[in-house]
Amino acid sequence: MEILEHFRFLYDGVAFFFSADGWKNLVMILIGGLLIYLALAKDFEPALLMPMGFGAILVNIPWSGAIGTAADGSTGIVEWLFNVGISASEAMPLLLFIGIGAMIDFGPLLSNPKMLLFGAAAQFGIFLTVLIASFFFPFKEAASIGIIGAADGPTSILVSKIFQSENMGAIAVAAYSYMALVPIIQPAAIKLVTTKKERMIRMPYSPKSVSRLTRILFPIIVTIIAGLVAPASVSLVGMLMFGNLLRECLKLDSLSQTAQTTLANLITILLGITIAFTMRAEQFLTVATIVIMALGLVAFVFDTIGGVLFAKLMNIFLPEGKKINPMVGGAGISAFPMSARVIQKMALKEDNQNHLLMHAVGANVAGQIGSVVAGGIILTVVPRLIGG
Amino acid sequence: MNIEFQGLANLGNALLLMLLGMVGIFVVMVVLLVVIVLLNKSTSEKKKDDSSDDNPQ
Repeated sequence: MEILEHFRFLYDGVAFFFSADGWKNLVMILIGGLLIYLALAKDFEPALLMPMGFGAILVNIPWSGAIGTAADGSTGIVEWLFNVGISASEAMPLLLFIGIGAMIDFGPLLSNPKMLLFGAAAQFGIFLTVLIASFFFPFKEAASIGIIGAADGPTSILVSKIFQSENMGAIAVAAYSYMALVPIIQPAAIKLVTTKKERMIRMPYSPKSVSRLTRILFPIIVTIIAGLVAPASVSLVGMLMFGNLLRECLKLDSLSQTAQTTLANLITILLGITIAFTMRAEQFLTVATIVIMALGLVAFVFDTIGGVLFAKLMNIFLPEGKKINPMVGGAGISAFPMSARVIQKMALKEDNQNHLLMHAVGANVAGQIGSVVAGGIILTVVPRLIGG
Repeated sequence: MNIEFQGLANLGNALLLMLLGMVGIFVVMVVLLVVIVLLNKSTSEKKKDDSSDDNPQ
């Protein structure tokens, strides 16, 4: 019989699932499978949700070697990646921003700079969500949850990490899931606050040429101005704009290409699986996660509504013929380029000759700036409010 | 962390954050807007004065 005891390792792992809290690990493995399914079968942000789903499986296998400390004192790879890549310096989300910055063409925004205002208005969902979340969570935690409305995964991860949120996994899953759901969320939210007549407003597009000097100075000036107002945003804005400067200087093409492809791909491969460290059953499978998912939806809906209503407000003061299609305001969220495409599709559905894409792209890249500035302001202001 | 009802304890801070946050973002964006308009104007004026290629793209 003693020999049978030696074979116990064969069924210990399965037996764990039937222990008191073991079912939670099993549920998390199923959630990991669901994320992989959504990523691959439904095309929901596959580059991030697939690694996150697989990572969730890795960290929830009983006594997983991917986390914790081994007998020789070494740390499991997923935990090590989290400690080094996110916990120690927030390096991963920040390095990803270099790649994102190198991918963005701010041309449509520079040629029509009033679109910047929509990049500000469409951050409203962040602050409304903080307000609602503050009824259920401590203030810092509420601020971490509100930043889901930045519609920007790296910013959400960075802010929740700096605020030492215990719900970072849920926040990241909500941020990436709702970004994938922008084509469903935004049309519904926009229709809620606009009439068909408003959605049919035409906006002729006559782009002005933008000089190379303006394109080069823009990322430098954004970094300085945002940094002076919200010093905590310097790492976020700085990395984004550094990537953009690589692109726009035209002297460092190979570096720009590397940032857009190799660097962004490498970080993306590792970021999802690393964030999964926060998806351990005991941490993720809570009522808070369900509440956070609901609040994330509120954030995305009210971001969109904030942008649309601001466009309607501007229209009160604009003469006939210069009016803005309020749907363009909804593109002021950071989910790029999905949001711009959604607006173009909606505009063509209402009037097949109404092309809003370039206006929406301008608002959408303004949303990229708005979201990182919002993240920086939250990081700067929240500690002062709590301390004061 | 599980949810703990906080009542109105954070309401003042949340409202103040909303005010400071939205004003802060708009201030940054308006300043950027002005800077871009000035940059666009100054670089296009240069084009008029100088027939050399100001936009290498």
